[in-house]
Amino acid sequence: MVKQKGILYDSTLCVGCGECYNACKAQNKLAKTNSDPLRDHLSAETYTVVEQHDDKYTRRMCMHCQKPTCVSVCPVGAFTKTELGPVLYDADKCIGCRYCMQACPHRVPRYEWSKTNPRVRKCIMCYDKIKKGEGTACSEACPTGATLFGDLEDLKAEAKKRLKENPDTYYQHIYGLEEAGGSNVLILSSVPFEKLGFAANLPKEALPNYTARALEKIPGVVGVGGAFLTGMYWLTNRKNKIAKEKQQEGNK
Amino acid sequence: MVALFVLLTFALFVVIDIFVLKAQKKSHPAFEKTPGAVFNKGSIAIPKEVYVSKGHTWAEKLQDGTLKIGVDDFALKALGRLSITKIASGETKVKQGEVIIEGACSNNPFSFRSPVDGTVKLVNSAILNKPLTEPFTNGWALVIDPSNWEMNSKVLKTGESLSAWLKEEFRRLRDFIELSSIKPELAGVTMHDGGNIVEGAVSNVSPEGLKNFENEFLTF
Amino acid sequence: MKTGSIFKLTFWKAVAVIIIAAGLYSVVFRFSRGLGAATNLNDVFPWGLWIGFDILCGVGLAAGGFTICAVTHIFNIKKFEPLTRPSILTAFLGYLLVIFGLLADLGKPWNIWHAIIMWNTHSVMFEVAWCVMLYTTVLFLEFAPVILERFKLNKLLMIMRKVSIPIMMLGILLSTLHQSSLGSLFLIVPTKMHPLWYSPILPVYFYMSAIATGFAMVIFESYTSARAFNHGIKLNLLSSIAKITFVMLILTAAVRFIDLAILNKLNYLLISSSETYMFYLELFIGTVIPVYLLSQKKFRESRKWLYISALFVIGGFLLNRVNVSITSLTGSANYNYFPSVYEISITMMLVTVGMVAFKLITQNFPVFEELHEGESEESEAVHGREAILSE
Repeated sequence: MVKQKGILYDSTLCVGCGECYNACKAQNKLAKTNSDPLRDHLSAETYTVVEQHDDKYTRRMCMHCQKPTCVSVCPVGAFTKTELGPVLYDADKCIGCRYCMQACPHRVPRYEWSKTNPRVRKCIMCYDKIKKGEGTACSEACPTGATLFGDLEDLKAEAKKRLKENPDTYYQHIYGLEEAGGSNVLILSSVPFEKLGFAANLPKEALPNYTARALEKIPGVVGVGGAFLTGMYWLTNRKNKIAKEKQQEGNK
Repeated sequence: MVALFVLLTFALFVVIDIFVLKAQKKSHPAFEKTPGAVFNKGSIAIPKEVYVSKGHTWAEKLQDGTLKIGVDDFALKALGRLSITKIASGETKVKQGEVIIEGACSNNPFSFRSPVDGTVKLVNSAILNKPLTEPFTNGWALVIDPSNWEMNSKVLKTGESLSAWLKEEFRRLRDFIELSSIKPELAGVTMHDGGNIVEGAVSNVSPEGLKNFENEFLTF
Repeated sequence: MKTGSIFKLTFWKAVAVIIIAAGLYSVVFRFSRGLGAATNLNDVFPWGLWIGFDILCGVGLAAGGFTICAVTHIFNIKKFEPLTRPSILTAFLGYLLVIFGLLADLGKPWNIWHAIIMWNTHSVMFEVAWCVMLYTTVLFLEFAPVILERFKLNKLLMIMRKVSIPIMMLGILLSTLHQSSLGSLFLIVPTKMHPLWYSPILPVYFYMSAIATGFAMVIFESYTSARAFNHGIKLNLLSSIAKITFVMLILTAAVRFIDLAILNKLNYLLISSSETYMFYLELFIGTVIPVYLLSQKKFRESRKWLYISALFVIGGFLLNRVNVSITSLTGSANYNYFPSVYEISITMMLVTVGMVAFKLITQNFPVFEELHEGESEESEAVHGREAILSE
């Protein structure tokens, strides 16, 4: 079994230098969209962004969920969750329904709106690099160690350790540990996460379960429905026939 | 906002549609009262004090003893649309059963016969050459001074006998349309409402049928 | 009369030509410039009018096809037979338009066939795609006898008549799945959607409201085609259909409120927000007013009020679907979406094309006259009750 990789982003260590942003653009050959990394937003040309909330900084990127909503909703299976952890997208399969964008609880996937053959774009955790055993471009570029790349289990342990050792520094929650079924990206913060613009109302349960509960009823609906329709047809047909026969007898 | 926009667009098209129809002097099936509507005994209101002849002309006694005469609602609704083209002129002497009113429905002429003997006193030329409406009120055709009312009125229907007779006339009309429709299946279309008759149903019958309609329903 | 009908044709013909021309221009614009230029959609609001109206409302309004089929062929209430063909035709055209709407909305419509070979059975969208494909085929088969009758292909007609019942059953099952799956699409966004609309039983709600609206659509269509073909209104049939709509409207509303109560969401009804007002509007137009009107016999049996009731049911349905797909999501996206002129004009073109196609087909194919053998006995049922006009 391959060990899952992950990213731990500790926002308390982040100084908002934007090196991760620049490294990501260079690694993924993305066009320049803004001169100031702190004033940009996620887009088809921007997989990660550093945001400033008062005096705090935070990064935004694909969370690489354990049970990714995008993987579950894509009708043609254009998204895959790799063994290593990254969630990848195959533009050749994609039909462009944008259900992934509608469904993603973290609002991550972005679209090439201006193109006539548009793709969905998002962080892929530098899959080509980490396959070779390297780290992600953003973690390698981070000068303060705010973004760490490593084995997911190690990172979880590290995050828990930091919360325990410095209870005053940290808001006692690891964002991404349980949100929407958990993810391969974990985030630490000194303030409640909604103050950094994260969705605070995410359930612990993975979202694909919500639709699975409806989808698993399909065989039942088809079975019971089919039987009901056949039975009903037989019954009413018979009733009509009997009524007709009676009428004919009456005529005699 | 989008929801409101969608709703208002839908409403707008429905309303424009109704106005366009109105501008064309046609009516929407939901709001129309005359053509296409179903009629039966319930949908025809014949005033109680009116006398109706077997040829579907009516007479109403005025205070001075003269009679107001016109075409009844049954004939009008069976034909759907009727224009009065000619009315017997003043001071002519007429006999019961003699043609006094001529009309046309889709270029087919129909004649209506006098319910009584007498002399024409007044002619309502305001109803000439346009679709007849309100047959029992503004749609009256002429005033006749009767000369033989006692005898004439015996064959006219009024009150209870009138409604019983009308019921029978509806039954006759239904059979008539069924028998003389151009296509037999059309009869089903014209009488789709549980055997009721659509207004103007007579226009669906064959040309010979139209002649027969006058013989069957408008003569004595 | 005759000059009138020519004038009427020219008015609506002119409108149709303008709408279709504008729509075609928008189609060219959409495919040459991309979704970004042609729509007001963006990364936080990826679904707009084309999904909310063309797909959700289009499929829902086509529900008349399967509801009438079920009533006439499964429950064997044959008196509704005259309404089936027009309803199936409307449903078939509706589904074709849904497909065209989808082609405009998809970023890579040329890949649409991928859904046939690349399966992801976890995806509701996958279920939707298959339902659209299969049910459109079934609707075509259901309508095929009309075409076969027209060209007198009697052998094929005999075969079709033999398999018609299984095909109808398949159609009803597929519709059930499809109507409900459009609700399931939104089950995945519990955190983004306004609580007044989000519910784990959205699929059930979508299904029930589609049935109520399906019957209202049958009523609406009857008036429209009665006008175009001058064949009168089968008022007594429509009044009895209205009773089913009435029952379904009440059941749907009951399910909805019980659900709100169980999930402790009734307090949202008291919060003053644009969403709450839209919810009330939807409730009044789509439920309260038509339920009141249809509960009164005098309204149910008046051709005017029956028509107005159907309009309210349809209007409420449109509000609901657009509320679910757009209104309920604007709050969390923090983006006030309003469709672009291109989105609007393509949508209007699709609806117009559907109406023109309906008219042409009904003029040239035996949609309104059904001459099945042995059907005359059943028509007795039609004669059962007299409908007296109260106007």
